[in-house]
Amino acid sequence: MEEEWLLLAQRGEEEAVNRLVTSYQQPVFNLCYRMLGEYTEAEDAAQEALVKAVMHLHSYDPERPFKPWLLRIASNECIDRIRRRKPTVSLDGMGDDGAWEWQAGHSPNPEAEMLQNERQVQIRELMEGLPLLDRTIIILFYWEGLSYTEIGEATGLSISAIKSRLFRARRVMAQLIVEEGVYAA
Amino acid sequence: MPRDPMNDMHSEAWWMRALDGELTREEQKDWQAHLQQCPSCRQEWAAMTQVDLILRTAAPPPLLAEDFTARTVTMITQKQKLRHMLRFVVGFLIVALVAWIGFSYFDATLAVLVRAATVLISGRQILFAALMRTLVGLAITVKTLLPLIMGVAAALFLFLTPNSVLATVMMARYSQKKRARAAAAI
Repeated sequence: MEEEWLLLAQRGEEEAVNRLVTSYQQPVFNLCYRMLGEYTEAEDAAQEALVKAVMHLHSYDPERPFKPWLLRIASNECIDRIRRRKPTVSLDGMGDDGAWEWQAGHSPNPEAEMLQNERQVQIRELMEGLPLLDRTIIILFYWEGLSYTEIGEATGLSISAIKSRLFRARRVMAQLIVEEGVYAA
Repeated sequence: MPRDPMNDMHSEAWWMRALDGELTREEQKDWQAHLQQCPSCRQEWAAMTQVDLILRTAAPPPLLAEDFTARTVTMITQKQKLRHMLRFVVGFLIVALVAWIGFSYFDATLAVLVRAATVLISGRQILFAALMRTLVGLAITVKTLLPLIMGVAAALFLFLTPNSVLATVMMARYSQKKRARAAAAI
């Protein structure tokens, strides 16, 4: 069924394009937001990734799951953007462009909101120490709920390589917690 | 003797299984006992599980703006239209280029063929006319050879005029003989 409307989207059927965008826009945006940490840039990246995906649907293999393929395009887009902006942003990510300044939630409770905001900053600090590929794996595993196989599809890595990278990424973050007390529970 | 990494509690393989919840009940008991005895593992395990908890309980990203879908779909359809138009223009240019090259070449080839055919036909006509004039001259001067001259003239007429029957028959017989000779040589 999905194959059919992906084909229609490839042919330029507006309804099918609309369906594709509606179905996948939030996961794509979530990945971009986690990677880039800034709402406007994440929205731009998500839009660019969706446009690229539809324009390159002819290169998608229908035998494989669509979501990891799409998220791979999105993560590549984010990695490109991070690499492009690196010279103008300080290493701790506190650049003038607001990079990594995660948005506050919409909690009616200001204290809870402040705590949540603080947590997001702490998560950002933990994530910053990771290579971009490991950061992508963490996001896909924890927040997009992808299986090891699907992460493999999205990153082009083997399952054992993903497990190993995931473990090492968590270990790096754990060491940061122990050594620098980045995160106070 | 090297220890099996799957059963070595300090190995990456063991830790990965432990974090993924893949330890058996028995192994889980052994692991808890080991954590009680090994302070470095206990500290690292606590930090690792804390990381796991932090990541799992992180707040979800904000929702997308309501007009995001409409903006994205518009952008996609515009790009698709542009691509279709570009494809049409490029396709048209390729067809036009191929047609131009083809027609130029065909035109030149046709001109050469027409010229060759004209030379061939007119050459035969000129030769025929010259021979006929000679024969007529001979017929006037030597009247006794008139039947012979008339016979030669008829043969030339049959042989040299365009699309002459005799020439065609002779060419056909010649090519038949040539094929027969070639077959005999094999």
